[in-house]
Amino acid sequence: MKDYFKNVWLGVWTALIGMRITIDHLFRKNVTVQYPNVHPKDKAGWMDMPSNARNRLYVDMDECNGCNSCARACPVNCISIETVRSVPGDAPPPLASGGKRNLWVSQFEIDFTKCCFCSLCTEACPTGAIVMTTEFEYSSYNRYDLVYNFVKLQNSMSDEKIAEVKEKWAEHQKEKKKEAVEPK
Amino acid sequence: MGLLNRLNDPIGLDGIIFGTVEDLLNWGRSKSDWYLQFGLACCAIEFMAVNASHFDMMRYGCIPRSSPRQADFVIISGTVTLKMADRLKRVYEQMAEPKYVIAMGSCANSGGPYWEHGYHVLKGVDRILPVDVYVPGCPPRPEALQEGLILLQKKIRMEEIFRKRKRLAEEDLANQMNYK
Amino acid sequence: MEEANFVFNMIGENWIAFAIISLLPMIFLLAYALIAILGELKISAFIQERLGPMRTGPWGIIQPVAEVVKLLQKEDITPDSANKPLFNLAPFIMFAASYAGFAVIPFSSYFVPSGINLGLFFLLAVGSLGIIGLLMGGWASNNKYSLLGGLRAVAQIVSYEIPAAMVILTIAVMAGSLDLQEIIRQQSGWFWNWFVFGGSGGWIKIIFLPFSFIMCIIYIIASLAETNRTPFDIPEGESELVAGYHTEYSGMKFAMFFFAEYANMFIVSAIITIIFFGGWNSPFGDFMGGPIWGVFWFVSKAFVFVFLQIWLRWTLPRLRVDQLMYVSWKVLLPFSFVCFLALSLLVMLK
Ligand code: SF4
Ligand code: SF4
Ligand code: SF4
Repeated sequence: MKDYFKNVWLGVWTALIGMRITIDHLFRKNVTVQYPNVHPKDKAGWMDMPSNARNRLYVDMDECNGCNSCARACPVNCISIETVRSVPGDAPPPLASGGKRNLWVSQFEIDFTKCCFCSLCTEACPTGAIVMTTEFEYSSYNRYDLVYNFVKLQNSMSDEKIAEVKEKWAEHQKEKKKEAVEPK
Repeated sequence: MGLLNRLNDPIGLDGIIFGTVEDLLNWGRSKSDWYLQFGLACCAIEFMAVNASHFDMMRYGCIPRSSPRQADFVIISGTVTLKMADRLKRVYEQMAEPKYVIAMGSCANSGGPYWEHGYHVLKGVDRILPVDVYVPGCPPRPEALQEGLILLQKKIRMEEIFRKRKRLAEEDLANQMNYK
Repeated sequence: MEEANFVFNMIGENWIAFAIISLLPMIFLLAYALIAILGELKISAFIQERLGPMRTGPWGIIQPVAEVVKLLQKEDITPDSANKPLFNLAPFIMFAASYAGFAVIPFSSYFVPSGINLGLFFLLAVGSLGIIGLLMGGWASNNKYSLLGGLRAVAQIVSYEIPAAMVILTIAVMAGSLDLQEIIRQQSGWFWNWFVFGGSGGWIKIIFLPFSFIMCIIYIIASLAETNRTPFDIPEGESELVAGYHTEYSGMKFAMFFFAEYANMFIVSAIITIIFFGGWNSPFGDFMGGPIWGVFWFVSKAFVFVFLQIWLRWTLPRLRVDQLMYVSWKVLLPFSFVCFLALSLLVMLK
């Protein structure tokens, strides 16, 4: 009997305690951040985006020498690089940081629908061409818009140029073969 | 969309009367999106964060419904395994028109980390459902999902009800042909 | 009761007057539903330190309009294996039952849609009519979750009718009448004449104050259960039964259920106001009295209880089914018996 009344009393009393807590919260300042108006990238915003945030990748095509290290490091194989070797005497312009370059990078695609933003590629890159940025707003209506071809995007090589270097390399190969055959 | 363009032909399908009604209907649908709770894997954690106080999905008029009959769109957040794909399709078919789909995270977009060797994972939810917005990320930031939500609302706002214009997705497909 | 209706006084007792009288509560109900939906969204948000709808009009105040426009456009699904006539009828029965309750609600001393002298009894009877709609919807959907939700709703509402009926019986004894206007008139004057403070009468009623308080609390709890609000929302518990009895409903039919739920919320708040808190009486004697202020007092008192229901919903978790039955049969019922006896004694002593 005593337990029964105690139970009933506790039932009512704890409900009242809960109601006091919620009414307290009703008049507190809310913590919501109104995203499109307050942007996390703003300094004045609620939070400065940390420099190691895992967001969209960026490849500086002036820095990339086409070594394919990033594609090999990638655990999900979402980077696909195509390179064309240059013929002697027609080397690509040197890297922006000064290094020598032997390969034309004719295609550098990252599929952001597959990427898991692990940042392993940025660590593998010898020249620091591939980096994580703070850009995260790139939702799209179309899955194929999320495949970024950085060669096209930065216009580092036009289609004609790619065709031209491919032709040159093929000719060079032919000549080499001829040279290899002729002396005999 | 402008009201002024419609002054030329006030009665016609593009005119003020139908045009304004259409705007009103689209406005209602875009501002009141009830979503179906469909959290599947790690992305669902971020999805919960969007629901919680700090990001507050209800600001966009999104109210969670657990019955697919009452939901307007479904956020597929996480890895869709082949076993779940079957259920997902069924749940989607039970939703009432007009219905929309947001694919959240790499796994829902294309299979993500499992796209190559995942014997058990659906390689992109667009193989079974018409996806309206793809939100990239693994997982996407809460703000990224909110941006996807805003894109979806924009898309609903631009829909044409009376002229049955082809849906935006088809135009995108055409663009994609040019792009490729 | 003719003089209790200003419409009859103005245009006489003809069919136009009847049409206006039956439409006035509907207009009120529509306005109230929009306010209550926005209130629910905003209060829930503020309690959780969120902001709630913000992007539909300034501070999201036209969000309910958007919801209605959306619900009008949604596809209306009738499942193939459902029992179609019952399935389509259920939401309308549900809504009709709650709207019928408005027939006897006295908004002011000069306006009550139908001044029958059995008002309290009518409310009790019509209030339980909604169960039929719930059970019909749950059964006709041919869905196990709907069926379970419908059954739970019936079990819950039937068992909570009894404490509620005990409370109403007590009020009938205290007021000596079942006419709502008469009950309200007996509570006129200052707020200590309200039935929650034992009604008008001498100092002897102070001894009986705890009993009338407990009576009021019992009725609030029972009315929460009758309207399926949290913590008694097990018929639509989202974590167990997808959405309970309205799992299969979409579009406008779901909106009818939704609407009926909010209408029910107002009806029970109105009953609490009438039988315990003096209806359209001003709390401060003649200050701001009169029929026009009466509407204000009545609606604002009822809104306090609507707010209380929303507040409770975002405070308490859901009960288990056995706990629900325990509360009804083992707690509320004995307590209401004791209070009934005590308050009857008070009536005899007065
Ligand atoms: S971040 Fe990881 S998954 Fe993405 S491209 Fe780089 S290595 Fe590949
Ligand atoms: S590792 Fe760096 S330099 Fe090498 S291909 Fe990748 S981005 Fe270019
Ligand atoms: S995309 Fe990444 S975070 Fe999202 S479910 Fe897949 S693995 Fe998890």
